[in-house]
Amino acid sequence: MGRWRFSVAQSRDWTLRGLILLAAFGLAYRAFYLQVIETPFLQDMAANRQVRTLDVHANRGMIRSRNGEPLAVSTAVDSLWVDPLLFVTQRQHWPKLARLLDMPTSELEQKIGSRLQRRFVYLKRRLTPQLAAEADELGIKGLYLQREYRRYYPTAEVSGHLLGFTNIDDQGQEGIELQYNRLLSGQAGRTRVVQDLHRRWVQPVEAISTAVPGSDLQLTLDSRLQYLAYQELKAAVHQHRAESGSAVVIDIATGDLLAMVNQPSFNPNETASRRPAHFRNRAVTDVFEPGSTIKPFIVAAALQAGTYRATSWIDTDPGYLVVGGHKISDHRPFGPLTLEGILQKSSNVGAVRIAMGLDPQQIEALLRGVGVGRASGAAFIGESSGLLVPAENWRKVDQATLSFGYGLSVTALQLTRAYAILGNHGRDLNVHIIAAESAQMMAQVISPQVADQVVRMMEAVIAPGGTGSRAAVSGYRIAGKTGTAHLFKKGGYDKTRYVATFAGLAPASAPRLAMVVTIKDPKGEAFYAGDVAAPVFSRFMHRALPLLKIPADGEVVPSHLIDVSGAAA
Amino acid sequence: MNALTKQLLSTLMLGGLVMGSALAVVTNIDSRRELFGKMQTQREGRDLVDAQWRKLLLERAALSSQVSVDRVALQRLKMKLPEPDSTVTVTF
Repeated sequence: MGRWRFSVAQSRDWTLRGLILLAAFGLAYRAFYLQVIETPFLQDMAANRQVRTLDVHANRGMIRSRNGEPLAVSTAVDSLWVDPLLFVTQRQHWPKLARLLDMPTSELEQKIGSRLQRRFVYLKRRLTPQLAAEADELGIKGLYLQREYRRYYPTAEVSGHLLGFTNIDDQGQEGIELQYNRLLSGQAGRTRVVQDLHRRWVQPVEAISTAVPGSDLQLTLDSRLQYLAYQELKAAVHQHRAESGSAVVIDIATGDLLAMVNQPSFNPNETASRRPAHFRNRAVTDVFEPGSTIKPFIVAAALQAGTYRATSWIDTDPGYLVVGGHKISDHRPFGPLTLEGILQKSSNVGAVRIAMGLDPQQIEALLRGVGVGRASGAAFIGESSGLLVPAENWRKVDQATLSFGYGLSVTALQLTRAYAILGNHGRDLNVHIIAAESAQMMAQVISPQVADQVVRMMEAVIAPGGTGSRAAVSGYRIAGKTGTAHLFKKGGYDKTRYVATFAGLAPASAPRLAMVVTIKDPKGEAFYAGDVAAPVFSRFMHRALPLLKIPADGEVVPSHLIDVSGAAA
Repeated sequence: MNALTKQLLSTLMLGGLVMGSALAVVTNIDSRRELFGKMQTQREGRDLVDAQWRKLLLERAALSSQVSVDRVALQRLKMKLPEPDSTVTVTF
């Protein structure tokens, strides 16, 4: 038994040793094989692949209108490029590719033929990913894809100034795109991948960080109103051969910016035809002297101070007066006028009389209250805050000229806000373009009764005989004011060039919209604001009010029937 | 069972556990790679669908834009927008 047991143990022992030895030989052979025999192949493989980290693109967020229509959308596009050295060896595939790309084979020849020395030639840029994938599937050597991103603006030049545009790297350059660039861009992610020599993606290994797509941005802009305003402004600027023009529409109840357009415009989709001079969002960057459109605020200051009442009469004879050695005159003598009459006829003499009866501080406080010299708060890129010299520096003549809108400057947006405050019963509003910003409770800057009285008075401007009668809209009562100011030039005012402005509220019985139209340097026969700017307001409101389902509130009331003693209806 | 056998057994058991965990790590890494690859494929698919959606969105925006609606209404359907002068609003 002992022998038997011994021999089993021994044989097991030997078998085990044999197996271990065999395994050792196996390993040694494998090592030899890899190190010596396979070396060239493996080195080649290693050279062909390498681990790299790649950026993962984060989609840029969309910009949408208040009703959700896309205003700016980024989409992936693929560009096809070739390595001519490899690509010329693939001539047999060229017809297939040419057919797919919808270009004659000769064009392919042409593109490659002259660039044989290069290693990178674009064949066709910005194809849809589907088409690019089909081209890739042809399996042509030396043909590669490069992913790019392009931003499209469906409304094109209608909202070009407001939205701005992005550069080739999808980064905002102007307008909302620049202002909210961080929010829209998101955060690119990083992924570790194994790639081959040609940097064609082989295999992702792991994500280092995931891409966070940019947030969408919803604006308060109403694209229908934006288009309407654009159309009417463009027509007027062309008709009167004006240098430029702007129009701004604000929703009085909420402070929402509904439309903001400028002329001349540019198409943000066409990089080639962009002219930097046209990028400026004039409605917020360019200031102008508001002219007579400031008069309602002078009247409000007087009513507020109690120096005049709504029913007061002011004698404007003989149609001119002299302040500090400067003669200020009306077109013709108007005789005695009510406050409402002063607005209706736009009497400079009357406005000066009212202003001279007030403390400079009272005028300044009211103008600052409605936002003259103060940025809109909507934080636009390049926004100008306008200019209002502090009252302690006013000379008599400054105070006089200020009352008909010279010596201070505003942007179209500021003037719109000022009128919106009148329409908002004298309460300031938080003007904004981003929908997420809600309306806030704002300060009362003019007493409600005074604001309402001024709105009633401004209805006389639209009535027959008023300077703004062409702003009338059938079925609606309108309140507004015209302003025609000389343009400033070196050494004084240019006697032959004007800026024509109309500022208005609709409907007058319970204002919902405030709109300012300003047209710079009309070169035609007409240059008065009542003939140039007021019709734009009228034509816009004629379509905009029914579109917003704002009920008709009556026809234009002849001025002698307007009752200004009480508050607005 | 003496002390030696006990020690041997526990060593073997620990060795087995080490082997087991090593294998688990390997399978885990492998399955992670595989899943990551799958996720990447899914993402690509998502991006493709997303790109298509954006394209359609733009197409719809272009077709329903005020400009093109105006053009169709005025030119193809020969419609007319009544001028303000020829409009009467009735107030109730």
